[in-house]
Amino acid sequence: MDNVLQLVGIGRVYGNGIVANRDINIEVRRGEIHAIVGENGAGKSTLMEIIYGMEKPDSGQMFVYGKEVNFSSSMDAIKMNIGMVHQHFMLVNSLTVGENLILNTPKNTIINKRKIAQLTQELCEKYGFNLDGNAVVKNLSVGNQQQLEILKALYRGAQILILDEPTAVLTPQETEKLFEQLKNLKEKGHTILFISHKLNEIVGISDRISILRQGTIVDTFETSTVDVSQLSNLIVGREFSEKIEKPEIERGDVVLRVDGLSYANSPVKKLLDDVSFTVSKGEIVGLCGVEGNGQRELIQAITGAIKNYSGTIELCGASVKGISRKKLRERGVAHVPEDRIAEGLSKDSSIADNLISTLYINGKFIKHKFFLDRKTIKEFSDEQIAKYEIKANDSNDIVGMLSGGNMQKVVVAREFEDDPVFAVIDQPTRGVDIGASKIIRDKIVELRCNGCAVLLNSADLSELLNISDRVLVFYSGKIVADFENLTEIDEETLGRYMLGLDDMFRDEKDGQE
Amino acid sequence: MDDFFNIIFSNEFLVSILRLSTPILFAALGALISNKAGVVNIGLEGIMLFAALFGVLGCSWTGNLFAGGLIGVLIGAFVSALLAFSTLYLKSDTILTGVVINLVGAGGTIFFLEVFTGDKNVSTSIVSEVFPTLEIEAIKDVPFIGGLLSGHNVLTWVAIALAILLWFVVNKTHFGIKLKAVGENPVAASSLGIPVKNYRFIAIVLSGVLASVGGIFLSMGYVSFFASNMTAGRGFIALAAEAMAMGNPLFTLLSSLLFGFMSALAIAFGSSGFMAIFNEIFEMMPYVATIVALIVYAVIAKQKNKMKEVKNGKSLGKGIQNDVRRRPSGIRRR
Amino acid sequence: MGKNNFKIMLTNMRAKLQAKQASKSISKRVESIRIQTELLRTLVAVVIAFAVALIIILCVSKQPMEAFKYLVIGPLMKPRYFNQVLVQMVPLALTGLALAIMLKAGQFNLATEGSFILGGVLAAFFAIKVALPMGIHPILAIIFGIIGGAFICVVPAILKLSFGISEMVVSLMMNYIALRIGNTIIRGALLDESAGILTTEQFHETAQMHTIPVGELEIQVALIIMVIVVVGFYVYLSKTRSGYALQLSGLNGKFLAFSGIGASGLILASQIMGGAVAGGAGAMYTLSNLERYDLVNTFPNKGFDGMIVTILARNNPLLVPIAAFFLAYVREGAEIMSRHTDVSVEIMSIIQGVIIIFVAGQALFSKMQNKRIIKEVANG
Repeated sequence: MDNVLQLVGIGRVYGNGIVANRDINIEVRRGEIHAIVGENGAGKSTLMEIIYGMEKPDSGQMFVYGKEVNFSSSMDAIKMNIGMVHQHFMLVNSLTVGENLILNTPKNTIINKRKIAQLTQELCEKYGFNLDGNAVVKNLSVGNQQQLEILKALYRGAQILILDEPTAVLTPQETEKLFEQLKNLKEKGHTILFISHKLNEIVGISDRISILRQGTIVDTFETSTVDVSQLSNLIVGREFSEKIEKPEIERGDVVLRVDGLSYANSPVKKLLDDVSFTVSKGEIVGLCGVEGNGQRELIQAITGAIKNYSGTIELCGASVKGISRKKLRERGVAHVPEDRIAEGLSKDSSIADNLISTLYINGKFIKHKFFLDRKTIKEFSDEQIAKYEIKANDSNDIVGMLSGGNMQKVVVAREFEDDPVFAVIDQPTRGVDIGASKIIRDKIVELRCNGCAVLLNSADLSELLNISDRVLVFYSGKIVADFENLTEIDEETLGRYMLGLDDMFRDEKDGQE
Repeated sequence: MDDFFNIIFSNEFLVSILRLSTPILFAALGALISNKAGVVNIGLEGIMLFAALFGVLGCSWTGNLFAGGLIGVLIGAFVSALLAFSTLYLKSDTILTGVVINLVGAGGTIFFLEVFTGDKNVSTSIVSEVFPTLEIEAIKDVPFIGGLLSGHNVLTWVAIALAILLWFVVNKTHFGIKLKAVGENPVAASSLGIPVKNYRFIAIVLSGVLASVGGIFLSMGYVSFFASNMTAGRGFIALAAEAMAMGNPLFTLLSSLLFGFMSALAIAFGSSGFMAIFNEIFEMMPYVATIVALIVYAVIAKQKNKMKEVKNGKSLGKGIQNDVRRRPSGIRRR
Repeated sequence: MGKNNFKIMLTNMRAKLQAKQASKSISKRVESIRIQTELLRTLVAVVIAFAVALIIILCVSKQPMEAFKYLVIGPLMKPRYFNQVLVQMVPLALTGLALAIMLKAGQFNLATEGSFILGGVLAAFFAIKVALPMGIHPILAIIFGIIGGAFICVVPAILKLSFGISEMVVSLMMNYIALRIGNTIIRGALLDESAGILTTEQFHETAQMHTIPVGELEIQVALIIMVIVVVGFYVYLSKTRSGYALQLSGLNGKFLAFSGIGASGLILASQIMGGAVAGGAGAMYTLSNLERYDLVNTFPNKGFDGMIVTILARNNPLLVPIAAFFLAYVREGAEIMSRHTDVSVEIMSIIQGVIIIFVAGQALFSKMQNKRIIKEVANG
């Protein structure tokens, strides 16, 4: 009877057929910090939303304090003393801290500024926070906004507190402070559900850990029984996919040269720290690391989404700093973006329109200067549909109607068909079914064999090791390992580097300092 | 020229500023309240017309000034409830629906005017009453003070009181902050259990009620008749006044007065024998002023952001894309 | 016997139809469900609107059946009436198209009203102040109007691009500014002092746009131009590279940035085009239908009417003339009714309002549509 929260066989399938959660069983004990870990897309957020009443499960039962519940909105969850701190804060920016705190919990109709400031003060003292009740939310730091969110939940009587990747936006100092407060709350008898994919944090703070893989809980255990590297193996759940045929070829000239690249988004948080490497013709360089260790920022810097970095990025000997997307494409850069729906596609347009969107600028598929050559476009599109085995009836089908895998094939087909000199490929097979993944991987290798330099970022370790020629491991914004001979690495070694326990270049760095 | 100065330095001129500001202020406060809830009510013009017509009709039917005014306001509230229902429940686009309400208002009021009075232009064939004007004999003729305090319609005072009241409601009451939450971050509001749709419905209807009072002021404030298209774009001016005041009810009072001043000036020019062309230019000023104000706000906001960045250290991340902290814009596009 | 044959034939036909349906791709079938729902919604809207009109007519008229008859079939009674439908259709279609261009690019610019007004006034200016030979005069006047119209719509676009100000609020202000600029021009340069009302001098004969007799109809040159513009815009959107990019920008701006297509040029271009079309509409309306331009203090609503057309046409350029025709038909019907009976023409504004509320209501029948789509997807 010490379980405050119990889920039995919970499942959730989205309208587009994606299985977010299946048959989830989990027990959360009173007064523990229970971490839920898993890769992005493993279904963590959906699970939390189900517990907080924002999503309705399609199957299964949920018990709070031993009582079966059926939440129809988050209001019901709040009534059962469940509170949640979302990754994207639920704050009204123009209101003050105190006003956000008491929003929709009226004791009387008129707001007494002094009283709510006092209330904020009292709550802060009680839980060891530090917030000014009269400060306007939009002027707060991200860390303080998060504190307000936690306080908001506590004020509404939350005994079970869900934190969705709380440290993703925090500086190390803020993180430390947060952890202190969480431990403090635990001592006061609160139960905390903590979502993260930062393993060292999880090991540092949690009492028990549940691992979520492909929508389901694969294991729950006491934190003290595992160490970090075991944990990383459990999360990745290494299942080797089919071996990819990869002929050995000569490495050519250097195409991309990154030298001394640093980038920070706040005074204390360096997201990229003196990163240097090269990618050559006919080479696939894989980026490896736990999410949030600088891989994303590196790609953003290369593709021009981040401009104010220090250091240099050169493509075929010329800097790419500050040049437009169009110029970048003209210089032969292909990009398969991480978020294919938001960035990589126009969902409401046809396959054909999507396939030519980056190609027509360079004068392809144009006749008489201004007109689209619909005939060639159709031929080209049909060809691509056949080549990449895109499951569609014809090139006029709307992309939004396709499955995730087929959408990704459209993106890949478009990006790869322009004979790129250099390709940035970000999470090419995330959320993509096995069959489509195989086709996409084959095409990446084919691209490399045709002499393209490829930078591949993937959370799928087996994919990385299978198709890369070289793997760079990132930890905390630095490259901590550079593996050339991939057949000799085992997952244990890789895991140690990913978690920052080992660093190939540590001596070198120490020597410099 | 002397004529002109005689006019603008008279108490009558002050009174006329307030008279011309009143309907704009009512409607602008209406625009404000729906904007707070995140809905742009473009249909104010049409709502005002309906209220203006049915206020006069109601007055002639019941023979009672207040009953007539009430009928006018109720009809206005009904029209705005239609707008709310259509955008919130039928999910039609708010802007498009607002424009349609204006088009229906322009034609529909003429239709009903003819049905009930037999005339397509004015309702002078039926008898209607006028809301009283408060003359304070003691100070009536004192320069400036007299114009400031005496000779105003009772509804003018109501409008000013409402501006202050609305400021209080928006900033100092739970209803007000909930309304702001609904407008600014509806997801957050609903995560706290605030019924977003209901709040928006209430806000739209309230905005309709306020605009309706502005409407009946036009037909029952100083004149006792309805004339076709008598709002003459005041619903749109109100949107401008609200935009200029950046959603602050007290500033809305000031911006409405500014717009009233411009109109009064235009009239003064017209009646003092100046070329009518100046009249047009003065009529245009409020709109130009609004656009200029919006530009100034935008530039100031940009500057502020830059300052912030400099404060945080330039090399340390101008590029951060933190959508958590970005304020959603009040106006939604399709 | 014959009955049986008929039955068999019917079953055969149905089977064939089903086979044809099944052979279509899922996305095509889903698309056709969507179209069916839209059609149903439009039909229901029209029926309800006319029912409302009938009820109102029954309440207010002494000759309700007569009135309703004129409303519904009035325009078909005489060629002259039908001609009038075509005349009314031209500005409606053009302002509808102007708005559609901007909406396609995701821009909510409501300044078409102002563009229409300024386009008309500038054309009037040209028609009065300049003496030119017959063919060239209206052409230059229209170009003048087009420039004026484009100016009004481009201001919100520029302010949005350089300061991030909502184009909608600015466009509403621009309408009034256009109205006042127009009046300033009229008062300053064009007023006919001898006329009893505030109106301009008469246009030069040479500036008038003419009509072409076709059978019993008098087809306006403006109508022909309108058809050309509609077709041109359709071709632009579906066949040209710029039109293709314009549509993408309205659908997913982020993707456009990703693809390396510059978005700000397209935002500007769409609003210049929209304003130009609306300004041209105002100019042609003036030169085709007026001999003098009256000073007004309220909007003629010609630009706002375009919004109704755009909604009815679902933003599809090819449907714009059809929607405009329908609207013009209703208006002409109301006009004829008001001339022959005791019901006034403004009833059409109520009919329009009811139609639009229902057509624009996305939620209507959406449940039914979703059910059908899910069924279809599950089957196929």
